[in-house]
Amino acid sequence: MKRVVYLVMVIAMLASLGAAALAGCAPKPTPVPATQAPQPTQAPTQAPTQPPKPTDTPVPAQPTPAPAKTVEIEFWYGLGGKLGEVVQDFIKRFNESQTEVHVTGVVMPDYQTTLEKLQAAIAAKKPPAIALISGARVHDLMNAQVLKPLDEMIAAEPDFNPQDIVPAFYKFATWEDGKLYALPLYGTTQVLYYRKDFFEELGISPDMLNTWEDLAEAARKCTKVEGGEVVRWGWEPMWGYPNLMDAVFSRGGKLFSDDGKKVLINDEIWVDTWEQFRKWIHEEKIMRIHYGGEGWAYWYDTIDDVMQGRACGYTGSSGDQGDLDFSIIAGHIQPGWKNPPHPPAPVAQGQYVVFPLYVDDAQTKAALKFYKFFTSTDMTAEWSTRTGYLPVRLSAQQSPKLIEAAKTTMPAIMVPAEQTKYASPLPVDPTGGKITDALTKAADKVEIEGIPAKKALDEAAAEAQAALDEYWASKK
Amino acid sequence: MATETAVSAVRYKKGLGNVKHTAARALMHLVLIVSSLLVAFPFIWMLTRSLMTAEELKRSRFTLIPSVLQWSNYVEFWHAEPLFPRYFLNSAIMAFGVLILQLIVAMLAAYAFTFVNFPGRNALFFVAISTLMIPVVITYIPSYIILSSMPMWLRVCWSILLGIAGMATIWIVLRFLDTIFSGLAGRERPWVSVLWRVVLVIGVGAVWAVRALPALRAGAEAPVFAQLSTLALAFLVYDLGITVAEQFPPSTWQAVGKALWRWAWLLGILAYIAYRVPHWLGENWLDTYQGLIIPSAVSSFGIFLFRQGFMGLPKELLDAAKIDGADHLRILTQIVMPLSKPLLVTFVIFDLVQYYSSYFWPLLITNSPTMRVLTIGLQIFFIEKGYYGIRWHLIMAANTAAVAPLLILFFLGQRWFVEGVATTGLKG
Repeated sequence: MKRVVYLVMVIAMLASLGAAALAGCAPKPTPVPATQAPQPTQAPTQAPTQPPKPTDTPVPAQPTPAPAKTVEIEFWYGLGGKLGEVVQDFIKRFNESQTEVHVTGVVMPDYQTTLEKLQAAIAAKKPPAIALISGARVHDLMNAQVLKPLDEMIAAEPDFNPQDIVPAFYKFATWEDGKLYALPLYGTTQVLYYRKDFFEELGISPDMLNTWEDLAEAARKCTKVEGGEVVRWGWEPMWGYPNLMDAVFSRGGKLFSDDGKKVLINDEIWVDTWEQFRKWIHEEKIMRIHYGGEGWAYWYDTIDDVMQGRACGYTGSSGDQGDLDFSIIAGHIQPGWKNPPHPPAPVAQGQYVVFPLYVDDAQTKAALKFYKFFTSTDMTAEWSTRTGYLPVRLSAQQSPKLIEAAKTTMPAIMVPAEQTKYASPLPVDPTGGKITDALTKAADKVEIEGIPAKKALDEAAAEAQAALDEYWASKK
Repeated sequence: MATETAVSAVRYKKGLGNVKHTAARALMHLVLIVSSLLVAFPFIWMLTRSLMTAEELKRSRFTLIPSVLQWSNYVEFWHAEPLFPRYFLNSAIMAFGVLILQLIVAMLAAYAFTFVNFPGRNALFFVAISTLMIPVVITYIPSYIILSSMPMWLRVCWSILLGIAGMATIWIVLRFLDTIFSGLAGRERPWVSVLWRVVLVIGVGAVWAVRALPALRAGAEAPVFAQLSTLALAFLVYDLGITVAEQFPPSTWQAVGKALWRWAWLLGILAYIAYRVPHWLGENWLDTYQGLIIPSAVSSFGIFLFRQGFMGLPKELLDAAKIDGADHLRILTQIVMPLSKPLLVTFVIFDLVQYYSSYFWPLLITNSPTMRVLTIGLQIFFIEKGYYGIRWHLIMAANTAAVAPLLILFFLGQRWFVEGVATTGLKG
C-alpha cells in the first residue's frame, strides 16, 4: 500500500516538474502571471494599443528629449587611495557632463585582480566595456585576441586626435597585425624620492643621485645603526624586477638581442648590476626592500618608511606624488652609471584601458567617449597634477595647469616628464608573460633571499630562452 | 612482613604513578598553554592594535598593550565606510543561505545512504564522495560561465529545489515550535498543535492581507516579497490541514484525505514556484545572491560527515519508530536529527565559518558595492579608506568587528562543537 502511494507521489512529482518546466520555458518574454488581475481592467481606454507598461502621465512636454537613451557601461579598475578618489571624481564629472553615456566605476583590489576577473568575464562573454590593465599585461590580452581593434572607431570619433597621444605609448598598444588594441590612460615611470632635510643635515648634494655608485655612497652616509640594528636605511629600492631592469637599461643593458631571438638577461651588465643591488641589500645593509603583503602594502610600507624618517629615500612611481609631503621630500630622475659611463634610461610605461570583445559596439563607442574625456588635454593635465602620473597627451605637457602646479603644489611634477626624455620603452614580452615571470622569480631570489645574481639570472635566462624559442618556433 | 613489603611496594608504585601522572599532566598543560597562546596571539594582536592610535601602532610591531584604549577607532571605521552594515548582511545571507541548503541536502542524502536500501547506493555514495577530491578552485571559471547565462530548465530545477528547501525550513521551524508549545501545555493535551497553528495562520494571514494582498491585486508585477509571503501562507495553511487530520485516529479515509490534501497543496505551491521563481532569478546570476549561494548548495563533506554520524545510531530505535508507523521524514527529523545534535552544531559552525570568510568566489562574481561580502569589503576598505595600510588602526578595528560574530558563535556552540569533533566517526 505504502509503496504504491509513494510510487504515485514520485510520478506526480515528476509530472509536475515536467509541466512546470514547460510552463517556465514557454513564455520567455516575461509573462503576465496567471493568478493576477488581467491587464485590460487597469486602463480600459488605452490598453489595446499601448505596450504593457504605459507611463502614467500623458503630459508630452517633458524636458528631456525622447531619443536620449543613456548607454550604461562599466569601467573596471584597480586603484585605491587618492588615485581611486581622482578616478571616481573624473567618472562623476563625465557622467554629469553629458547624458548619452553613464559610466559605473567598479573598484578592484589591484591590477592583477582586475586582469583575473576580466579573463573570467571574457570567458563567460560578459566583460565590461572598458577596463584598466597594467601595460605589462596588455600584450597577453592582444595575443589571446579578446580585444576589439580600435582604429576604425577612433577615426569615426570626432576630435580624438590620436597623433596627440605620446607616440611611445600609442605604438606599444599596436599589435603585430598593425592594429591598435588598447589606449594609454596614463603613463608611469619610476623616479627617486629623497629626504631633503636628511641630505642637508648630512651635507649630501642631490647631485649624488646622478649615478648609482654615488647614490650608494650617499646611502652609506645616511644609514644609521643603533645597537647593531639599522634604524635608518640609506635607500629603499622598490620590490620587483622593474626597478632592477631600469638600472640595467641605465647601464646600456638590453632584454633581447637585436634580432629578438636571444634573451640577454644573464649577460655581464645584468649580472653586475643585480649583484650590486644584492650586495647593498644583503651585505652592506645600507638598503632594504619591503615585500609580500596584500595588494600594494609593500609599496606603501616603503613610502611610509621615508615619510616617517626610517629611510633616506626610495625608488618609487611618478604616481606616488599625491601621497608625499614635499616640505621634506624632493624628487629626482633615476641615476645612470659611472662604470661603464651611461646616462639614465629607465622605462616609461603606459597603463592601458582595453575594450574587450563580446561588448556591443554602442557600448564600446560609449567607452571611447569616456576615454576621450578622461584624456582630454585639460583633464589629463589635471590628472597629472593630482596624481603625479604622466599625462598621455603631448599637448598636456605644455598645459598651464601643469606648469602652475610645478611652481606651487607639486614641485616634483616635472621630474617624471624630464625623465621621459631619456626613457626606454617597455620591452614587449612576446611569450605571454613567461619572461617577466622568470625575471620576477629571479628578482625575488636576489632581493629577498640574497642568492647571487649570477645563479638567479642564469636560471631565469634558461627559462626565458626556452619560452622565447617556443614562441619563435610557433611563429614558423 | 611479606604483606607489609607488598603493600609498601604497591604504595611505592602508586606514588610513582602519581608522580608520573602529575608530570605528564603538567607537560600536557604546558603544551596546551603554549599552543593555545600561539593560536590566540594573532587575535589578541589584532584586538589590541585596533585600540591604538596610528602613531602608537607604527612605533613598534610587538607592543601589545595600548596606552589609552581608542574605542573611537570602531566608531571611525564604521563611519568611514557607510556600506559596512550591508557587507555584514551580505555575508550573513551568503553563509546562512549556503548553510540551509547544504544541511537539507546533506541530511537527506546521508539518511538515504545510511538507512534506505536501494540499488546502486554505494556507487552513488562513492560518486558523491569522490567530488571531495576535486579542488574547488578549478570549478570556479566553469561555474562563472554557467552562471553568466543560466538556461531556463536549470533555473526551473533550482527554483523547485529552493522551494523544497524553503518549505522544509518552515516545516522544521514549525516542528520545533510544536515541541515548545506541547512542552508548555503539558503532555496529554490534544489539539494544542492545531490551536497555535490556527493562531499563526490568522496572524500571518492578517499581515498578508494588509501588506501583500493590495500589491498582488494592484499590478501585473507584484513585488517578490508579496509573492513569497503568499507562498509561505499557503504552506502554513497546508500544514494546518495536515495537523488537523493527524488529530483523528488513523483510518483509510484519513490516509486518503491526508494524501489528497498534501499533494494538492504541495504540487500547487511547487507549480507556482516553478512558474514564477525562474523569472525572478533571472538569466544572469553574476553579481546576485543566488550566484553567491547556489554553486555551494551541495557539500559532499557534509554528506560524508552525516553518514558517518548516522551509521553510529542504534538501529533498534529506527525499527521501533517504523513499527509505530513513522515515515522517513519523521524518523529523520524526530529521531535521527535530535540524536545527532553535536554533529549538527559542528557542521553549522564549520560551514558558517567557511562561507562567512570565503573570499575568492565572491570576489570573482560580485561587482557592485552593494553586493560585496565582508571579506571583499574589508579588502576594499583596506585600499580605499585604509590607504593601503597607512591607517592600520581602522583596518584592525574593522577586522576585529568582522571576526567578532564568528567568535560569539563559537562560544555559544562550544560545548556541542567539542563534543561533535570528539565523537565524529565513532561507531556506537
